[in-house]
Amino acid sequence: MKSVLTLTLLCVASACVLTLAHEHTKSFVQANIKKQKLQRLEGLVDELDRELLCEQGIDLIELNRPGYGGEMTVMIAIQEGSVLGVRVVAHSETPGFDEVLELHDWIGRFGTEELGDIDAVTRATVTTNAVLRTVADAMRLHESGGGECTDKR
Amino acid sequence: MYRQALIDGLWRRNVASAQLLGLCPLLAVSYNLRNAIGLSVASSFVLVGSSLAISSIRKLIPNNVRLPCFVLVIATLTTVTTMYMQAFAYDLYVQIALFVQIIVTNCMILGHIESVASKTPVGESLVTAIGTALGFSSALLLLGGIRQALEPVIPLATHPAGAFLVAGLTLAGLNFVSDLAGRTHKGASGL
Repeated sequence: MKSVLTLTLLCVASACVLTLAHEHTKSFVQANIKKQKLQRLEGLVDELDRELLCEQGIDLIELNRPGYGGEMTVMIAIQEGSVLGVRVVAHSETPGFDEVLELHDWIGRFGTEELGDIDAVTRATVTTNAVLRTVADAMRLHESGGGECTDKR
Repeated sequence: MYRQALIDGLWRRNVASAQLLGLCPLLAVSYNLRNAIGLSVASSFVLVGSSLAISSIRKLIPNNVRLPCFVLVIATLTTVTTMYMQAFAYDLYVQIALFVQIIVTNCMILGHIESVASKTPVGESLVTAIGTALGFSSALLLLGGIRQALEPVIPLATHPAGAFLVAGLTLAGLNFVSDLAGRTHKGASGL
């Protein structure tokens, strides 16, 4: 009985500490994430607000899909029915994945080449395949919205 | 006695060089000084904090659930550390977050809690924890410094294989120095 009580009390205390820390850091963390997103999107779009982007004719789609080591966040900019560019803004893949993306500018090939011409990268097959699937999903989403910017998502 | 505990933590019973504990983050992160400092600060905070917490409630923890209690405290502190890093040191967070999170499973910390903090009064376990933290940090900084300094000459030093080479040679060097000093350097055989 004593062990149950001790563990329960300790769990409650731990939850309190975590909640306080979360509340304290939340706004800073969100600001950091937004700043990093904009940095990652440099050279693609200069705005995160979807409505403002829509006026420029760009549909910016953000999707979370499982990669190799967990969820990754991919942002896809679509203009006039074709991919303008793709950026991975957050991931928990093996460290070093960013270098694979930059290698021969793999991520830059979206937007200049046809989707079907882009292959996965050896030694990061699972991850890059996940990016490819995510882009395909984004295209489907975009098309099902009638090609217009929609706020259904 | 406190002075002896600090010296032991730094040298004779240094977790990294004598007990060879906690080497996973040590080798993975120590490719430059900046990361080494970041991980040192994070690990030291978790080690000292959890040591303080556990030793002050040690009489309330029943023996049969002590491990879940230890892990809970360590995990809480590690998560808090991660949150604060994410909020105030985002660049560093992006680079070493993975290794900060696995501080939870760092055997150095659990080992210290199990063998010292859960059995000794607050003051003593605090000093021992600080000694251990200093020992771990100094090993991390030493490796980080050496690997960063070697990079222009031997690029391999910053790669994973280089980590093992540098760590092995550094350990050999430390043991050599310790033999020269004529001390009995226990451990280092407990691989």
